[in-house]
Amino acid sequence: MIRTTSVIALTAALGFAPIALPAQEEQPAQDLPSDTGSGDAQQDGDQAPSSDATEDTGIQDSADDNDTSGQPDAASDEDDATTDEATGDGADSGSATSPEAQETNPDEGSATETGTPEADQAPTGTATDASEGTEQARAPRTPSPIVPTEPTWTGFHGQLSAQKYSPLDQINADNVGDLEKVWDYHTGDVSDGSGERPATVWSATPIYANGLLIIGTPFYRVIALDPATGEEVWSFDSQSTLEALTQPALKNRGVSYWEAENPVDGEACQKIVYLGTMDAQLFAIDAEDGQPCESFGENGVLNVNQWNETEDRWPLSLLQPPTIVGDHVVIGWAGKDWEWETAPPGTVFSVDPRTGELEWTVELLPEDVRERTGTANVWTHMSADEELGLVYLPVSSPSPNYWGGNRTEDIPLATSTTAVDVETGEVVWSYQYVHHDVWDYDTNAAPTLMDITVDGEEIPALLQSTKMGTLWALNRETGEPIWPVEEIEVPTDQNIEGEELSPTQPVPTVPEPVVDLENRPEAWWIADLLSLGKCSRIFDNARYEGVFTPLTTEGSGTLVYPATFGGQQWGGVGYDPENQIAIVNSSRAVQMLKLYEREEYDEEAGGSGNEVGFYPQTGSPYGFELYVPLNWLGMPCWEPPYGDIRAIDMKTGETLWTRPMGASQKYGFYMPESMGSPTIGGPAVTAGGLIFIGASMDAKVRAYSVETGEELWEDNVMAPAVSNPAVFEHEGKQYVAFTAGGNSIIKDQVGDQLAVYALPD
Amino acid sequence: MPDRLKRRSPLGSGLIVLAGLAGAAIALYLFLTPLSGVTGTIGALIVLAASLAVALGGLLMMATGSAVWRWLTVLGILGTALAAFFLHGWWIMLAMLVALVGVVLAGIGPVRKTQGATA
Repeated sequence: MIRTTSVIALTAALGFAPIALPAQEEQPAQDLPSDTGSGDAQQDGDQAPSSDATEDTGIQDSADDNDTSGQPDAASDEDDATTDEATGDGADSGSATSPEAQETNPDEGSATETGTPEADQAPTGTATDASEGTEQARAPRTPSPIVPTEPTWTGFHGQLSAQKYSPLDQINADNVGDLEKVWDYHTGDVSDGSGERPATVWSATPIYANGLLIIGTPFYRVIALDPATGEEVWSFDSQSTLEALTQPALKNRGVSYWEAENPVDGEACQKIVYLGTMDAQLFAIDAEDGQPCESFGENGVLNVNQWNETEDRWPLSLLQPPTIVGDHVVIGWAGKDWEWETAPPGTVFSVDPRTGELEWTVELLPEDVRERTGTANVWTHMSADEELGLVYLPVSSPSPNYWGGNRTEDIPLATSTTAVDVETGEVVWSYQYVHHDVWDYDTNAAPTLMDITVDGEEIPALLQSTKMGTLWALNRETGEPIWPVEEIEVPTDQNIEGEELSPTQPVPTVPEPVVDLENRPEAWWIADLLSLGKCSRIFDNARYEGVFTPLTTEGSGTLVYPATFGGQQWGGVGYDPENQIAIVNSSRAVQMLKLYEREEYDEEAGGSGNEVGFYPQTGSPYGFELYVPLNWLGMPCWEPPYGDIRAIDMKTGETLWTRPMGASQKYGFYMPESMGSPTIGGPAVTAGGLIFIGASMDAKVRAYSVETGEELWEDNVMAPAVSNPAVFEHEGKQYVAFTAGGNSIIKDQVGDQLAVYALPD
Repeated sequence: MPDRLKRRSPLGSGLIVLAGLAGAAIALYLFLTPLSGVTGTIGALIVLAASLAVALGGLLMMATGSAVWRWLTVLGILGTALAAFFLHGWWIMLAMLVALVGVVLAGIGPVRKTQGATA
C-alpha cells in the first residue's frame, strides 16, 4: 500500500520549487558537420524522394525493402523509460529540487562538440521568472493566443497550446445528430503485418493548412487533399525504408506546418510541410505543390541522425512530427527503449525552418550519466506559449525502462515537464512527476496550456496528463503546482540487484487521478469463473502496493496499474477555454510485469509485440516479461470499466462528470458500453459544446456533450481512431476529420481511412 | 410405428427456416460490408453459421415433427439472438424473434394428418 502518512511537501506552502534554472546568455548556433552520424540513415543520396502533384496516387503499394540499416527485430514502445531518484532520501524535500543533475560543461560533451548553445542546467532550487531569460530574443512573429480567436488546426494537437479547441459552432449539440460523412479517403498505406512488412500504427491528426487537408502516412508519404471533396491535390513519397528499425510497427503521427510570416507570392517554400521517418530523416515539402524544399538540409532532407552520437544503437526515429514554434522547428524523437540497458540520451533539437540548420540542443540527461543510461527523450508532441517564449517538453524516463541500478543518482529532467526557452534552448524550469522512474512512466502527451481562474485569480496554467493517470496543474510561467502536491511514502523493499528506489513520490491532490492509485483492481468474477479461477490466481500471485510498487522476479511479477500504455496517452487533454473545462479520456487496464535474472531470461524468453512480450534490457542484470492478464476467451481479468471520459472544472479542479467511454470488442462482439473501453488517442473540443473523439477499441467515432457527457452521435470507421480529430472550416463550412489507423496495443486492427464529416447542405 | 403421422402445419417451421436464412444473409452482409463494425470478424461468421443452424432446425422440425428438434431449435434461436445482441446485429435479433414466432406457431397450429409408411 502507498502510505500517505506524511504529507511531506504541500508544495506552495512549504516552498516547493520546481527545478528552475538561471537564464544563460544566448550563444550563436553553429553549423554541425553535415553527416557525423552513426549511420542508420540510408535516405541520403540513393533514394531520391518523389513528389507527385495532382496525380491520383492514392494507393502506394510498397516502398523499398532494401534497407540496409538492419535491426530487424522490433521491440518496445517509442520512448524510453524511467527517471531517477530526484530527491535522494527525499523525506524532507520537494518533489524535484535536486541541485546536481544536468550540469553541462560547455567545454565538454556532445553539445560542445557540435557547437550547440546548450544551457547550463544547474538547478538552483528556486523558481525563476521565465520571462527573465527570454526577453532578449523574441521572435518578431505575432504569437498565437492561448484562447483561440479563429479556427486553427495546423498541428498534431490543433494549436500550439494543445487545447484541441475550435471556436467553430456550426456543428453543435442540437444538430450533431445530423452529422454525416461527406467523404473518406484511403491512403493505401496499411499493413496488417501478416507479410514481410511490419504492421502499421497510424496515429496521425490531419492538419488544415494552406487551404488543404494534409496527412502523413505510416509509409512516410504526405498527401494533400481538397478539404471539401477529398480529391488529391498533391502527394509526396519520401521513399523511406519500411522497416521496424526502432518500433515494432511502422508508425506515423502526421506532419507539421510552417509558414513564412510574410509569404512571397511565386517563391518556393514559403509554406512548408515537415515529415519525419523511422530512419531519422526530416523532409521539408513545399505546401503549394508537394515538391521538396531544396534549401532545407540536403535537397530537402535533414539527417537528424547525424546528431546521434552517444550509444547510437538505433536511429532517432521521427514518428511524431516536430513542433513548430515561430521560426523554430523543434524536434523530439523515439527509440527502442526496452532492448538495451544503455541507449541514446534524450535530446531535443531546434532547427531553422528554411534551412534545417541547427539552432540549439537540449540535453535531458546529466552529462555524467549519459553513457551509463540513455533516453529521457521527448517522443510525443510538445506545446508552446509564444508570448512567454517557452516550449514545453514532455520528457520520458531513462534507460532501461524497468531497472535503475545503473542510474541511482538524480536525473531531475526525466519523467517531467520541462520548459525551454524557444530562442536559446535554455531550460527555464522543470517539474518531475516520478523520482527514479523504474516503471516506464514516460510523460506521454503535450501539456495543455490554459488560462484558468482559481479563487478569483487568473493563472497562466498547463495541465499535464500522465501514464499514471495523474493530472498535474502547473503554473506555466514558473512550474509551480497550482493545487497542493503530496510527497507520499512508497514501498522500497525489494531484492533487485543494484536498485535503489526513491522512498517518496509526488502525487497531486487536485484534480483527482483518473484511476485509483492505491487499491488493487479486483479480479472480475465473470472472467475468473470462466477461467476456472486463473484470473484470481494471477492477481493473488502478484505484488501490488500501489502505483509505485517495486518490480520483482517472484510469482506473477508486479501488477502494473495503470498499464504501461496509461492512464492517459498521447492524445492529451482537451480544453474548452470559454468555460474553463478540461476533457480527459483514460484507460483502466492492468498489466503484469515480471523481471527475470539474465540466465533465467535467456531460457524463458519468447517473442514480443507492441507493449507485450519479452524484452531483454541487454546489459542489465534483468530482462522482463510484460503481458495483459486475460482469460482463455480473451476477457480482461479485472473489473470494468476499462476506460472513461470526464470533464473537469479547471476553476476548482473538480470533476463535473465522468462516464465509461466506448465499448470493448473481441472477435466482433461488443461488450456493453457501461463497461467502457481502453482509449488511445484524444479529444477535440468545440465552441458548439461538443467533444469529438475516437480512441476506443470498437472503432467508432463519437460526439459527446461538453456540458453533460451525453453521447450525441457516433459512426463506424475502419479501425480505432487513435489520434486527435481535426476540426476546421473550409469555404464557410465546418468539418470534422478522423484518421482511422488502429493500434495493436488496444486491438489487432489496422486501417488507412481518413473520414470527414459535416452537416448536410 | 403408426401408419399415419400427426403433424402441425408447416407454417411455423417454414417461418423458422425463412428467419434463419434471413439471419444468415444479414450476418453475411455484416461480415462482408466495410464499416459495418464487425467486418471480417469471427463473431459475424459464428452468427452466420448459427443462423443457418436455426434454418436447418426448422427444416428438421418440418420433416420430423420431433419435439427434440423443436427444443434444440429454440436453444439455437436464443443463442443466435444473444450473439447477435453482442454483435449489435439488431436485424438479426429481429429475425430470431420471427423464428421464435415460428416455433410458437409450429406448436399451436392445426394438426395436419399425413400418410405414413405402411409396415
